[in-house]
Amino acid sequence: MDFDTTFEEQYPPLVRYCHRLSGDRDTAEDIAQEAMVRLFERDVEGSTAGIRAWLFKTATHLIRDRYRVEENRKRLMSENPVMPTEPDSPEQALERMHDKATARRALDALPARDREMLLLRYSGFSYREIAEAVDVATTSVGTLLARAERRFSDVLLAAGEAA
Amino acid sequence: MSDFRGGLPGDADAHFSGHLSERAIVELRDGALLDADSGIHLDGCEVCRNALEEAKGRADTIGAALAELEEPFDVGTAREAVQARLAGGRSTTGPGRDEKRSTSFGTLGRAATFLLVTTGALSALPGSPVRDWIGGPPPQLSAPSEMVRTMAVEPVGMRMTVEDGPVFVRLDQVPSGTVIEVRWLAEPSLGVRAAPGSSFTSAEGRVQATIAGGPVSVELPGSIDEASLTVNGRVYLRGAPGGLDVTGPVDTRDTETIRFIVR
Repeated sequence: MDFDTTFEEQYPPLVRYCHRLSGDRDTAEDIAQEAMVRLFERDVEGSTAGIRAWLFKTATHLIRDRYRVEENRKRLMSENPVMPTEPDSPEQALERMHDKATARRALDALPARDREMLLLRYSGFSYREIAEAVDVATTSVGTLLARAERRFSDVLLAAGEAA
Repeated sequence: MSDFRGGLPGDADAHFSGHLSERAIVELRDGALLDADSGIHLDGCEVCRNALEEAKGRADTIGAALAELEEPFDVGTAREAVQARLAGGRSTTGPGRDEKRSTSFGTLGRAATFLLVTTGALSALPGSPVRDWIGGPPPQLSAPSEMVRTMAVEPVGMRMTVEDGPVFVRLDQVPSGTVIEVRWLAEPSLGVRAAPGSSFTSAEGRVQATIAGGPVSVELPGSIDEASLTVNGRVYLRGAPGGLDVTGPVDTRDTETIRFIVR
């Protein structure tokens, strides 16, 4: 497996997926790089599509693990808060009207698994690959995707009507 | 919830209203449902055809919304960082990384250390909830080769015979980073293949495809001079009797094939 070719092909879509899933650019780059390192350290072999699926599944698990740690940290911090939460500024309120913030909000409104499935689908994966990545039955993918799309669209629609 | 629920065999959402369920509509749109009954129903049902069009529109809207989230990133720096780690260094930040990034990792590193110590201690306590997730089964990453084997998929596509030109191929919704390989054949055949989930429509000398993923293979009849390939609305190549004009992002090229990587 050629490093440069694989990196050029796989890294850009992977980091985009991680960014959409995590909502944070630094986290996205860190996770995408970690997945690439594991790919080469473990000498994963397969077709281009298979490698891509492996990378996205690995990244999905890494992001899940990171959020699990983050949730635990938040729980521990909440017992001894050190900083008050700042109220939204007018600028922040305006920013929420922006398309980007709306899309982010729509994603965040989804349960974690629905979010992963939606983003995998819009990264070009088949139903079978999505089922493998998030551990659901292939026959459930259509139903879950339809629900995720509906929820995502509802948030977008509500934001559009409010604007 | 959608009004489109119905009588597909095995559909858990079936309410026997006579229309395709929302799930079936989405699966049809994505090329995941290919049974003849659904196709026949669709031909005769305007409600379901409208629902399918609505689902396609929703997909476009969602795709556009997700595109809003994109931010630029430096592939070269990332490549160097990964190479450095593979070479034995554990540096996550590469040359040219911005200050915010370095600071972020320093903080994250300290936080991670704190959490490892804390969760380690918590996990030692009987009944600690931390034991559940630390002691749970690890992510299924221990047998990557097997996983790749199970996830490798056969491409889908279409092919037609074309005796006379011109030939047009249009590929839409192709994800960035997708490899498109164009090959000229000796026989009068036009073919396009891509990852499962891709959908294809065709007319004489024309193929239009919505691409779910790569790699994408485009095979053009070598006997026809006049041909074009358009990807996401951008012309990648245009052949005319006078020669071939290649305007797409070429990765490699030889006398028989051109390999593009979609940007």
